Amino acid sequence: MFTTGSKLFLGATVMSTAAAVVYGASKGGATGWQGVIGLLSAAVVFAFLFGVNYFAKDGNVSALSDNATTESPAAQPPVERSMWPALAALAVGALAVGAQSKPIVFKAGVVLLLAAAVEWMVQGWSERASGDRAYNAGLRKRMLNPLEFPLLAAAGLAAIIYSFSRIMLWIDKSGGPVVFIIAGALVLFGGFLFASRPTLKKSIIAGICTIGALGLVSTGAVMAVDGQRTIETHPTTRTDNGAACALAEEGPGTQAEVDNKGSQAVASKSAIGITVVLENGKLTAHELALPGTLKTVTVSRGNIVNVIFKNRDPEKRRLTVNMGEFEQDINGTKVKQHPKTCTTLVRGKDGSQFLSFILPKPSIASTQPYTFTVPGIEGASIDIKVP
Amino acid sequence: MSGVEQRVSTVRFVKQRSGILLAVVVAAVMLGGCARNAPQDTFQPAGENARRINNLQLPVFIIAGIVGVIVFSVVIFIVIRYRDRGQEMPEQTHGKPALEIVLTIIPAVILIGVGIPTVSTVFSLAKTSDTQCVVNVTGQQWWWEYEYPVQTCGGVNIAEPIVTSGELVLPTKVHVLLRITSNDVIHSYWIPKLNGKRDAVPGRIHPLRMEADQPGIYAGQCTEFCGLSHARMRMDAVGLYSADFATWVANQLQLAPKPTDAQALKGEDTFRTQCSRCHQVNGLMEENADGTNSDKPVISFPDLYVVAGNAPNLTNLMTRTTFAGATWDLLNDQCRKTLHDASPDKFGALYLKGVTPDCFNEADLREWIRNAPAKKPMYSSEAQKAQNGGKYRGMPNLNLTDNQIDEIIAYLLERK
Repeated sequence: MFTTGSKLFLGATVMSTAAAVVYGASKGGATGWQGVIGLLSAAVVFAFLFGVNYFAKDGNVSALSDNATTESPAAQPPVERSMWPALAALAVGALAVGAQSKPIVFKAGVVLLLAAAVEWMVQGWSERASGDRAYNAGLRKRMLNPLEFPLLAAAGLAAIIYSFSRIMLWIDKSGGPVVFIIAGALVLFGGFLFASRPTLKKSIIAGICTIGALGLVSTGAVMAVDGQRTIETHPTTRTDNGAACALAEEGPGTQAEVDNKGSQAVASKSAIGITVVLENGKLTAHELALPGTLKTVTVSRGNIVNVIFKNRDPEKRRLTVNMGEFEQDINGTKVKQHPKTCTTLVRGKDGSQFLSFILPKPSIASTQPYTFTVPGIEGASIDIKVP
Repeated sequence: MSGVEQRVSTVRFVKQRSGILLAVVVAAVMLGGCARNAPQDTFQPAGENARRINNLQLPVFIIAGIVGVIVFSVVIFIVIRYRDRGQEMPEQTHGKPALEIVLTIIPAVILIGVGIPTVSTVFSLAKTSDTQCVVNVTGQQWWWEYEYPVQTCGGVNIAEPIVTSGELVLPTKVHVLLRITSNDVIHSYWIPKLNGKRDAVPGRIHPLRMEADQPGIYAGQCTEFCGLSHARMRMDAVGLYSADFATWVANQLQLAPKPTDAQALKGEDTFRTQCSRCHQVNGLMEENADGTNSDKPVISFPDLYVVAGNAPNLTNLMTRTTFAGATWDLLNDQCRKTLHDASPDKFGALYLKGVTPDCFNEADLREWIRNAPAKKPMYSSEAQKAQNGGKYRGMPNLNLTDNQIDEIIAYLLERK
């Protein structure tokens, strides 16, 4: 009957075909077809290799004898217990549960099923490679260790990193640096200890590392369940062509955070061209490297302008950029547009917010000047000139 | 002489002359670095900031040179002296604390000696508190735009913002701060005789100090690969005495008057229909049905046509000496030489004359207007436009007739 090698490739053929069916049915579309074609191609290759191995009896002279299929090592029953069938069953269960509940469970099931299938297949194959158990075990290691070690190491590393991130997100913001320093010092101390005592037993080192990793992962799991600390959201730029930007108070929909043009980006905030300050009901501006306060700022045409608005008044205020007045032809009727962009309401007493905008036309293109204003404060205005 | 003897003789000759050959090659390479006319020579500083860099790099080069000579000499000596001649392997030893400590301390001392003036120079070059004038510099594919905000620049009042391109005009002996950014991709600004490089990054403002000792033209080059015509993205910095700078500022704030010449008048029409979509000319008005000017200014809208969202403002084109990213001269060779060779005292007056008809380099400008992408490679064919979201990178071929080109040149020649 079937030889060891042909069994391996027959199994791979069946697996690839089944995978093609599952993938095609679950994915669909052009991407799905590409995957199906790839998997079916693999199935064809495996089937060909199965045929070759079956025909040539694995190239094993002894397998060519009449009783090879009854007396050969491949014909012997399994010699070791295997956890892979149970794990494969668990994976199939996860697939069923995940299909009805959460995608992450389904994905975990797919990963587990693949891992179980590969391990089970190779283990089953290696146990029939010869009558020597030690040789068979070595064969399995030679096949799977190059795959297992990097994957397990990556998974372990990911677990440690994820656990550590959960811990850092759980503890207080000011406590974070302290924990980081202590953790770093412990790693350094451990490294120094191991290096300075080369005679230390490997089992002791492994034990210490395992205890440390388990402590980290379990603490991370507890803190992940408990949830991260409250992180303040930073409302940013609004662009709605007028309505909300003209309001001194919150209006309908103005609470929503709009992260326009990545305005929360640290890079942008570190390249501020203009700082606009509201203090005692007066608006002043500071341009990078220009001395003193300004009532007129110059902005390059078509360039990104990064502004910080600082509200030193007690009330909540927003900074509005009035981007001129332009006529627009809408269905043959000329309609005057007053584009604006603004910050959300910024809390008083040193609240600040980032604002980014572009003025693509020079000042002379608009029938009204470009200005910074603060709705609700009469006369709080700064001219913007675009050459 | 037999063939074998001849070959032996040749090998001997080569061996005997190899030292001379090597010396000739080295000398040729070294002499290649010497040039009389080297406008982008960082070893000839013409401003305070470039001088600081030069004062740092010279001693560092000397120290590095001495270290390099010592290291190479020792390596070559050891390689030759102790080369394998089939002798016995010498005794192998490990660890020589005294030697190791000395060989650690010596480089550390050298690095400290280099590091202290380096850090000091870096901080002094980053200083912005002594700024006397600010210029916004924007890199675009493939030209530089300069914009002078409303300010008092080295004692000269700039009441309205000025926008120009290609040539950075600055008052001499004034601490000018460039606020450098980009509208499309990353560029890098470098005028070697005035300061080091600074990257122009979209969405960021990078400051760069600039100061020129004397009036004159200082050449520069974009030093960050920025696309097809990176090599033709040049720039000039022009130093002017304060009084000349004030005159230049006043000139730049003038609006373009209605042309007087008949051909230039036709050129205004052609410019309005063909060029003003992207190029702004301040003072150019839309035309009424009866051919008179309306009171409505022509506003270009390059943001709809080019990726950078900008094209050079041509209001005062003929006050500059170059065009198309400072790549070609607006002055003919003779006038260019006269200007570049002018003494500091005479330079300002010559520069402020701008491009006069007798000094005008018409040939290059004509070729440019006829087919810009043929002269300077740009992504401006229809196929390339489609790849860039319907926008050009650079100026397209407008397929103008000879008459239209004549008219536009006549119009541009009056833009001073």
